Amino acid sequence: MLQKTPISDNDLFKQFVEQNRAENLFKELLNRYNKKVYWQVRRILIAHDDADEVTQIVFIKLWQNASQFKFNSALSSFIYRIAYNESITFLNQKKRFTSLDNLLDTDGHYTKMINSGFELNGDEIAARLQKALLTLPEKQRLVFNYKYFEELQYDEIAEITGTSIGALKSSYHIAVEKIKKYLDLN
Amino acid sequence: MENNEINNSAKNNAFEVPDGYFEKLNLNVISNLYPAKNKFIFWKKNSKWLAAASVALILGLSFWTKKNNSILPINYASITEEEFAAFEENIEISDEELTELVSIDDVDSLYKNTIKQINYIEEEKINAIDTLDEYSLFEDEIEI
Repeated sequence: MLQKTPISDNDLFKQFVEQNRAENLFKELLNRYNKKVYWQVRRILIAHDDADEVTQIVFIKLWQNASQFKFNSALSSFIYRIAYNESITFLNQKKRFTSLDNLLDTDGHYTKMINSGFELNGDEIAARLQKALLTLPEKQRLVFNYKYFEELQYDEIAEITGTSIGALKSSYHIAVEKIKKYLDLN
Repeated sequence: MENNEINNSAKNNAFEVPDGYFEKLNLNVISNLYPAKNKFIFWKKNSKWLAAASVALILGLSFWTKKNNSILPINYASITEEEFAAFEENIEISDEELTELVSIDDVDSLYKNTIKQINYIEEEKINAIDTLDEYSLFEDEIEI
């Protein structure tokens, strides 16, 4: 029995745009990307409510700016780029009202959250890794998230963050070394 | 990575997600795709009430301040009731007879005050129209 090959993301999006943003096609896109976007955002923002808010914004912006995608790259890069920008925007807005300095958890706010088990699922190793990540500067943490958790290639990460591949490789290498050191000491 | 602790199990998400969250997420996104329907355009919805309230406020304040300043210093004290009654009964009254009833000063004063009142009402009308125009300009700019 022949199995129907699922339509590619780019083709699905093309149909979505051509059919004047058909809602049923958008729902299919949501099903494909909701978890990926959410987890990317969650790893940056840590708190569920923040991640929920930004994730919704990402998809609404995708809907509103559908015509801006030129189909000369992967749809995933386009969506992740929106997620990246919105997460950074959210953090910058939050910076005005908190002591959060870039993504560095200088006041220990998110570390305390993780230590208290707030919104954690009990996976100790994963929790330790999250604590280690919170000690990293912004770029290194973001690159690590994209490379390690999302398993993206450097060229995809470069497209999302607008950073050169060389800089990304360097950031990732340093991030790994720092995390190893942290886990050894803690 | 050489450190054994950074292995595949660490790729598990450390964070908890509420049950049924992703289904709710989809519904929330879909419901927010059409913001124009849900936009509460405060000024547009309430423009008539706001305009009416502002006109009433302006007129009310104006009358209140004018009342204290009294723009109607009409003095009918010099005209008796009998004279008024006679005037009403005798519509066809000559100018000489009329001048006997009401002095030139009273007529002049009455005329001037009437003109003042008319001018005042015209000014208030213009102010009200300006206020309404202001609100109609506003309503296109402000959306909540």
